[in-house]
Amino acid sequence: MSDPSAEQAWARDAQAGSAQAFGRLVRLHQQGLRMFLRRLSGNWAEADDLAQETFVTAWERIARFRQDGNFRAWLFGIGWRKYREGKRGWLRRMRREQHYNGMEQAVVNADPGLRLDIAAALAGLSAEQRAAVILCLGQEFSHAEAAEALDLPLGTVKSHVARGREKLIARLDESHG
Amino acid sequence: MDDISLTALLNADAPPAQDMRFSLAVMTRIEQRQFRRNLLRNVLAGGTATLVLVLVAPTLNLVWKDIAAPLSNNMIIAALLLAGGVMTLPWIAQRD
Repeated sequence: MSDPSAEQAWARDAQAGSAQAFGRLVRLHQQGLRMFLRRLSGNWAEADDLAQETFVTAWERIARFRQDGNFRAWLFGIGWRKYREGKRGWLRRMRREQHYNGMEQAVVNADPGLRLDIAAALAGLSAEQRAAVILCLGQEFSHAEAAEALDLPLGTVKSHVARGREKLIARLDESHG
Repeated sequence: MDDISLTALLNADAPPAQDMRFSLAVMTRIEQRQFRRNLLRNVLAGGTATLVLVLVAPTLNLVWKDIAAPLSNNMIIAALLLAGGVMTLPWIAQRD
């Protein structure tokens, strides 16, 4: 994790029109955002495309970012909304469901000796549960940060994380015998 | 399974922390989007200016005959147009 004051300064410079400062923010958050979207969608290429679109939208709307706000939560919030918007397309949804159905089948048929497949276990969670678990357990977001990014009440996020975590652990333990 | 193992699993196969190719792709996409928007804006502005000129051309022609008759020398007209163009350059540079 970087120095928050440096991040704030880069966000301020980006708001003033500095593409260089924005480039620093891209370098700082690309790994986390891509990982979040990859785990969320289960499709690496689509997730990277979504991540790029997220950064482009962030640049276009950088003026709307509150200077005292949390840049990471704001950025991941854009990514989350992009994922949800993309999910509405019936073709994409069908492809994703096919992908996940395949994954779920893989879990059912999994050989206990096989390597853990977290993606397959995540497929058993709802999109919101998946997002909350990935952010809080994978990306080390606080519950409040995740609530801001996902635009959900704090209590809902806490419940999603707790239940999602339980389900994940149960599925992973089950697949390992 | 504990939370540490779960976190490790969630972050397995993570993209590299420094990925210049990805950062470059983002900045290229931003530039392309900006270029397309500027191009569209310029085409629209050019089209509007042309339309306005076509509409006011007859009136301009009359005004030109009355006011600018002394400037019948082509070199003077060319110099005035050039000066006007040079004066707009800083504004164009500032806008982009």
